[in-house]
Amino acid sequence: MTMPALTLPGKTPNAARPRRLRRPLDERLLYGACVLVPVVALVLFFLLPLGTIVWRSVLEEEGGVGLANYLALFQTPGILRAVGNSLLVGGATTVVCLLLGFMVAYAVQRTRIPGKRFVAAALSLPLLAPSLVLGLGLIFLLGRNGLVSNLIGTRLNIYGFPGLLIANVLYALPQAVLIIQAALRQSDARYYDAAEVMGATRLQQFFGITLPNVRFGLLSAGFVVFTVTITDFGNAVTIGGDFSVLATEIYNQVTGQMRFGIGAAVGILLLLPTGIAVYIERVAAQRQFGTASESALPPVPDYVPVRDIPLFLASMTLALSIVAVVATVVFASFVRLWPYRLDLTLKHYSITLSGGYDPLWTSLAVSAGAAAIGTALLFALVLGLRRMPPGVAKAVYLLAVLPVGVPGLVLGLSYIFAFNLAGTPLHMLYGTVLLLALCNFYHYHTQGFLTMVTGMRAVPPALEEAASCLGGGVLRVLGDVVVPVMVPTLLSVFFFLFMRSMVTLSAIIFLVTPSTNLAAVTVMRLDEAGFVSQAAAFSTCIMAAVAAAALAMRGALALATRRKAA
Amino acid sequence: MDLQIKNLLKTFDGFVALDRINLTVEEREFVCLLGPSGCGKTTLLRIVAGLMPYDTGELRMGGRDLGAVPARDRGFGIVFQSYSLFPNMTVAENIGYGLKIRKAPGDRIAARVKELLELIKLPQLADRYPWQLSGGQQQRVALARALAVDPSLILLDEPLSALDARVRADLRAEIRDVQRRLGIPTIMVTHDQEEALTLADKVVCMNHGLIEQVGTPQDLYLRPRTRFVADFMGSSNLLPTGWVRDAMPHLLPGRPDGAENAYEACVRPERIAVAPAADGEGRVIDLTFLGNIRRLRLSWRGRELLAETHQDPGVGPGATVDVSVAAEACAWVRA
Repeated sequence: MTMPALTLPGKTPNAARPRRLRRPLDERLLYGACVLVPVVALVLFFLLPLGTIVWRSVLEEEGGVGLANYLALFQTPGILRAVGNSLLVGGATTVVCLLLGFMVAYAVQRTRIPGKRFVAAALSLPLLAPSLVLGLGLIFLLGRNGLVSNLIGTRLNIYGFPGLLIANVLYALPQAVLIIQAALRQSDARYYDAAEVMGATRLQQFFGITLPNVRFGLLSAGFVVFTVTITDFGNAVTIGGDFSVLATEIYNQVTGQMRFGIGAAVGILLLLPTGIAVYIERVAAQRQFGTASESALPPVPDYVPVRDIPLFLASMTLALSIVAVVATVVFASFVRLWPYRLDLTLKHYSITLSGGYDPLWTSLAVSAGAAAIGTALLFALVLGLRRMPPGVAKAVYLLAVLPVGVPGLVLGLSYIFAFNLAGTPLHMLYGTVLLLALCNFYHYHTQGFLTMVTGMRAVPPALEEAASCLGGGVLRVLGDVVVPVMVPTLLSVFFFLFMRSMVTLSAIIFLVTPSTNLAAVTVMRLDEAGFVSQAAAFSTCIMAAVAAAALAMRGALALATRRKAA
Repeated sequence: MDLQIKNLLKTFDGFVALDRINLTVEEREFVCLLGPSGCGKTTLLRIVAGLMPYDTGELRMGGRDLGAVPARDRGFGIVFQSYSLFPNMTVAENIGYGLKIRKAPGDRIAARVKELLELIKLPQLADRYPWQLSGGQQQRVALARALAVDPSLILLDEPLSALDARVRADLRAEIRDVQRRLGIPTIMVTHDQEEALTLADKVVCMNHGLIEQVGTPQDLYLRPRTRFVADFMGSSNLLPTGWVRDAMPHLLPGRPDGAENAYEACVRPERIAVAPAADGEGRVIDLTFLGNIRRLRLSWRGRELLAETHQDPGVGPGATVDVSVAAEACAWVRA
């Protein structure tokens, strides 16, 4: 009972083939351009860089093609240690995140604990901030000069593995929870009714039905967490200390020692875990086709004290920890000398690093650019795809979902290779706000594309046809039928791209130049220079901007849906 | 063992879902709970299964009070409309699940699964997963899964509603066959009167949380006691007492005593005889061809009547006809 994602029209025998209806020229031109422009952009700003990094990884220093760069990886002691450390911290983070993530997802989805909304809100906090904010907060709380060290009188050492593990867990947990929660949602109350009548106890139902049915969710959450962790940059820099990991090591190799070949080889190796994750998700999606029946009733949990009370306490502890870490950063930014002199001041908000608040404005410009360009291109692409022959549509669809398999770190690296070469026409883009915006857009291309596809499904074709039959031209139909239905989707995609662009660090870290510095990078530089309170202040500004964007999105969405209802 | 339900009351926030229900399911009996959606039939089934608590009343299985027995200890089997096979298990694992829970030895499970796969005629599908099966196959497997633990009672919650007409008819015959062969008492919920008529030993017609009538399929069809049952069990002509007194006085002797509006005469369309007659009192309004039967709308003595015949009545719209109803063709129902 599997269904292809895109259905092919039945083959009509040649003799009986009806004459193809020719659409008016303006319509064909419009839809053609709608697909062509985004696809060309995808090729230029995604496929081409990716191709370049593959090429560079096999291009040996003396010229010639071979695997020397990959072999060199194993002979560079720094890299080898960093790989080991990354695998260690990535593995540990994955295990902890899966355990905690499953616990929280289960508590929210399948129990009757109070305060689910608070837990969900707390867990979305890390998504609104650059990853290094968590590292920063942990240092304020548990660092040598942290609140806890100060209270108990011994100097804790949070730097290195333990701090990095905690920061990574807090950062990756929300993503794990989202995936596992989605998997837990895919169920039917009847499974449990049937098992109950057949004599299974709660525990037997949990291990026999609940757990096996989320195994793909757990697997894909695991790979996502692992990838996010080993390619994350911010926490490694802030709280990693001497514990060198792959992300920082590549950064040093490429931007410090100009060893591009090795950087490229590591980038290619980093494609493996995400590649596997994406593959698993596809398999899981196919597996679930058959089970997701339309008549499925969501399981309604009942109150089981022995299960719900411990889960409530654990989820709350976790949610409060996240809130505490983020809130500490905000609080510390207003305090004269953390944690010794707690009187409030705004002095950390005068940034002493060169450029001051310029990077924040640059970030806003980049994010607005990424959001505007991205929303326009994605809308055009999805609009045009509906009119393409199935074969073409399928190919373009595959291309459009490909970027999810490329971690930001690898994308950033590949942009260096593709755009930092003097003498190519694309070189003039290097160091511009536009390139940063494009990099961020293609980093999050897949999520935006899928949201847009889902939104476009809500446009009733009958309405479009009715408008055409009434004599509306293409633009008329677009403006009167398609756009009004799509407004909430367009808003969602716009703000999603904006907010992600504001906080991401892993891709653009390779692309910033002194004239186009970005907010998240500035936080990192301030922290590196020892201005932790200023770093906190700058982080607070970023979070405020993102929170304002989130609020604006909610307001705009509410407005859009109200206008539609009226 | 028999199941006894006494004065069972179930409310949801003050709304009475089941109003003091009394019902017995005898050994080997196939009982259908029939009624429109919202009549309480599924609620009753879920309470019997133990999946829902009840307010007051008594539920006994072979004399044992089930009130305090959780669903998992009742030893029943259940099949739902939406198949609800465990998606993570193969067909064989699904069927063997109940036995595995009971810690039966592996070879016994395997033997029982094989036996049941033969019973449902799907021995070749043991290693498939549910999503690889058709709806009808999934429902067969669900039935086998319910039978695997030798349940003392089988509960079927609209098991055929999600299937195509053809598959539904096949599976209906199969369920009936298996139930008769194994002799396990069975309760089935359905809103399809044809299903209830063909399957049940005893039909329980429900409406608004009350039992309207309990009886054999023949009872309910030929001798409905309320207007609701008459209406729900197929089409009928419901005739007010006053009109019957004038137009068909020969039907009156069977009428129970009661106020003029308390009872109506129910005459099934196939019990109205129509014959062409040049000077007939009746006139054909229109005629619909439905394959095996023909349906006529007639105007006769100031009323519109519905008649059905298997033969060609030899008349067309506008023709005059004689209309007659035999005295025993009428059932008096509470209005």
